[in-house]
Amino acid sequence: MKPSKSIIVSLWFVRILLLLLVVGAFFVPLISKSYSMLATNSDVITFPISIGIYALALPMVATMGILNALLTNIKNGNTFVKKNITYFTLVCIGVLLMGVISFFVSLVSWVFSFFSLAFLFSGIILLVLRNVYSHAVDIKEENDFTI
Amino acid sequence: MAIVVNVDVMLAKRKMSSTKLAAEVGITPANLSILKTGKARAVRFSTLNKLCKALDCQPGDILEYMADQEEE
Repeated sequence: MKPSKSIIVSLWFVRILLLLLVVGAFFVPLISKSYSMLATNSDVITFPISIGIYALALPMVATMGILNALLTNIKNGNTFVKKNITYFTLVCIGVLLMGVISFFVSLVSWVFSFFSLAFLFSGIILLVLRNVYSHAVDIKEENDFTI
Repeated sequence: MAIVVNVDVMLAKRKMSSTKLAAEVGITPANLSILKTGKARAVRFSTLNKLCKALDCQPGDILEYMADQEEE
């Protein structure tokens, strides 16, 4: 089966984002300093913000990598396989982890509380979708083994 | 699964090959293998009907309930 354009576009979007994240990691100290100067007129929160962003970037890169694997599987026609449920679960954990990390960073700068809320909300929605996906895999398997 | 499929027993009794049965029933040899190895989750009535017709037997000759094999 030929993969849909949407899958190919999503796959490239994820790959580009992954590349941007890796490249962006080099500019974190600069971004943190600019943000600190803008928010507090001093560089007092530069270091904790940098640590926070790096801590956020780790699960983000991991999640993007997993999304890449998931989309590659779907592109290759292996849509409803058990491995994809594992990938989905890992994506959920990654997004929820980003929410928790953002919450701790928001203790330094309140702006991050919005990210925290967004990540936690997305994580919960993904968790629901993961359960639906898991059910779909079960149905597909049952259908495949019905003679 | 406590339901055991005895297609191979019936095949031996009727001295019929798996390939011939698959062709007569209209299923692929791969699907017949799934049925024989007990990996199948369900059997359509239409398939069961064709199996009984091809093997000249009753559904009870093909399917058997074994309580001691209950799991899940």
